[in-house]
Amino acid sequence: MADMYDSSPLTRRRFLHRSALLAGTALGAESLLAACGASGASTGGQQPVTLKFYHWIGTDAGPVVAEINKRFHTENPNITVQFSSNSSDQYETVLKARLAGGDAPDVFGVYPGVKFYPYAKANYLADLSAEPWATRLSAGARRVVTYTDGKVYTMPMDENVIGVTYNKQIFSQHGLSVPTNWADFLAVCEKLKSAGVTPLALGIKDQWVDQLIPYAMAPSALYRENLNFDKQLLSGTSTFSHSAWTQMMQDYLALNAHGYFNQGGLGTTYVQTTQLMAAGKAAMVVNGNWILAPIKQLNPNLQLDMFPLPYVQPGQPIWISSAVGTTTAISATTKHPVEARKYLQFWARPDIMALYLKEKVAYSSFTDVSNPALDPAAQAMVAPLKVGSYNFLDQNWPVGVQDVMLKDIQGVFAGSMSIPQMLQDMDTSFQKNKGQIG
Amino acid sequence: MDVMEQTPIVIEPLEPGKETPVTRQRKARLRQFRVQLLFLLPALVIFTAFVIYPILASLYYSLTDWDGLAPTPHFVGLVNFQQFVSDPTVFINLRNTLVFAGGVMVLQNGIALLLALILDGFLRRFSFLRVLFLLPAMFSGLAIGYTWSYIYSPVFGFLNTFLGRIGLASWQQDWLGNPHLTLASLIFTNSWEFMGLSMVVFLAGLQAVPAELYEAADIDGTSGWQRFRHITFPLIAPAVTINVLLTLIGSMKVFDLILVMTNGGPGNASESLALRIYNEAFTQNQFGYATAIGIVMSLLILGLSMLNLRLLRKREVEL
Repeated sequence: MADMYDSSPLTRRRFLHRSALLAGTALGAESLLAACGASGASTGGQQPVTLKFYHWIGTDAGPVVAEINKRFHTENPNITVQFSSNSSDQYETVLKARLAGGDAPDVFGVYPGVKFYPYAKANYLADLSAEPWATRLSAGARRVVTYTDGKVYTMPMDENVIGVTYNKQIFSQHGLSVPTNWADFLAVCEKLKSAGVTPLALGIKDQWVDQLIPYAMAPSALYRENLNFDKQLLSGTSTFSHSAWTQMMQDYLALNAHGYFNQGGLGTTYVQTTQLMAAGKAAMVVNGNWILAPIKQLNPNLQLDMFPLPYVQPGQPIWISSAVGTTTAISATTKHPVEARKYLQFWARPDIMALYLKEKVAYSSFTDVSNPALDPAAQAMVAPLKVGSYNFLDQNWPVGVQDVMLKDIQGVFAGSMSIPQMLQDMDTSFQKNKGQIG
Repeated sequence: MDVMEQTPIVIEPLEPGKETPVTRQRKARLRQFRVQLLFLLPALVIFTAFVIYPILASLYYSLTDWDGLAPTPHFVGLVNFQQFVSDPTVFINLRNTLVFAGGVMVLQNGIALLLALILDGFLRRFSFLRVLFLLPAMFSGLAIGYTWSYIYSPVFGFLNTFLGRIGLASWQQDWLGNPHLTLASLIFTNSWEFMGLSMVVFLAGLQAVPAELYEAADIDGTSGWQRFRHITFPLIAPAVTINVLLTLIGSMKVFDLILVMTNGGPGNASESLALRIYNEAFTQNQFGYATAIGIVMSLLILGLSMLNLRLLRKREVEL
């Protein structure tokens, strides 16, 4: 009789046991299903590989990078490229953190010249000297991707020039022609100013912009006469303080004193200068050819052209500031070295590289690739380039000097620092850090 | 004689293992301690991992010349601290930070107190206003920084355009590019962002002032200003302590606002200590020096806070 009531009651213990069993079965079944599903979808044959590609070019060339990755995947179905980008001022911070933390991307961008030396020194970069494309590089490009041990550690992808981008319509409206020496240039500025147009757009709230005018002046003022100046800085036989830099900075500031820049240059950003140009409020801007694309985007009807900054006496040749802007390297610790090298070789193929250069509106680093679709304004600099050029100055300086220069130029414009003080700071920084470059 | 007869006093020895009330109490307390420790353990572990260990690691790195990339740092002793003392730009950073902190402490708390008095006084009915003023504190500091950069922009910015439209074109400035105005502009933005938080603390303090005192003051016929000076202000001293302390610590550490709005510019006119640490470490690759600056900054904030606390605590009135 007592058995009737002996059915096991649902005690707490029983309940917990049953729930655990149920949950476990459910989870197990689910993972079983997932495994089945995954194995069914995988491509038969090669192991699928994912390459992590980290660079800063997503800002200017995002769509073409996605297109190139798509084409690469079509030709190599087992390799997927995962691209992530960051703006160039934050890029290195994140990259260094990832490298130090052991989470190196397989393929990543590094800056050309001495900027990639710390990475090579710490053995983060794979040696690319034997790659098939290494022999196709132009001499200048090869120079800035080679480390002090003579090996190539990164692949250059584009070159840029610094020049004066100007609004053709405003020039023709005021009967102005392209100046070929400094006095003519100042006359053009004066004419524009009295006509109520801002002659030059200056956006030096973004520190990197304030170096561009000195960079554009230096090849003609300094390096045309003395190609060995940087080597002399290293050995101590020359200094910034006792060089044409003083005159360059004085002329740079004179432009401001004459009122040829927009008001509040120290509070204006790079993007705002593109807006000034696009709105027709400013006639010229001294910047790299990379500024053509964003201005065009804002105002496609604008007629733009470029000319070299004529920081010369009448009749003298103008040298242009031109350099490799973007390079890409392979991590020395990548788990997919074969696939990563394949990826870079794909980029170096003439048809793919031409695709990238067209979007970036840049000049080629390869001897057998030219950019046929170079914007007509940028095309205008190709002939002047043949006269003479020198690379962006910081590519030959130890790390630290450029940052001092960028900050101090702002200080000089703000009036809180003198030109001799700035050049002194640059010399001190150079001497302190020169151990990095030999 | 019976008087000499004594009952023998026997002192029985304790049987080993038998507990007295004292030992039992001690054991219970020990058990309780172990349980409490177990509850504390997770928080202690996290605290050690994220606070204690980094502090000790910082002390170590400040004695090296690590560049952030090399696998092993190289010991150099007190060189970084010597460099700190002889570096003129670091003192500009320190001055900027102190000016910024002072400005924020005064402006933010001043505005907050004013708002709290108004919202507790004749605008008491509009409680949504409290939420409204608190909203900026909810937004991301970066978003506020970018927005205010555009407002301050000399080219197409709201402030200059507005001044031009209402006929005050002579007041137009390069708010962030003029080195004499940069810090002031930054102080104003920071105060705008966090005034809601300070206001809320003041409001809480105001609630604690007993109404009878105001009634008594009314009977005695005091003016509004006298009421504030003799009743309100002394009695909200705890709220003042909290607000001043929090604004001091927060503004001494300012980083993201300055990074986004001026990046320390023009030159180093607005570069704070925290921004300097970031630049030294991540652009100049001088992690050792940056850590040394960080340690000095932390000690400075600690010292100022303790001084501040002591001075303000004296003012607090016990009811």
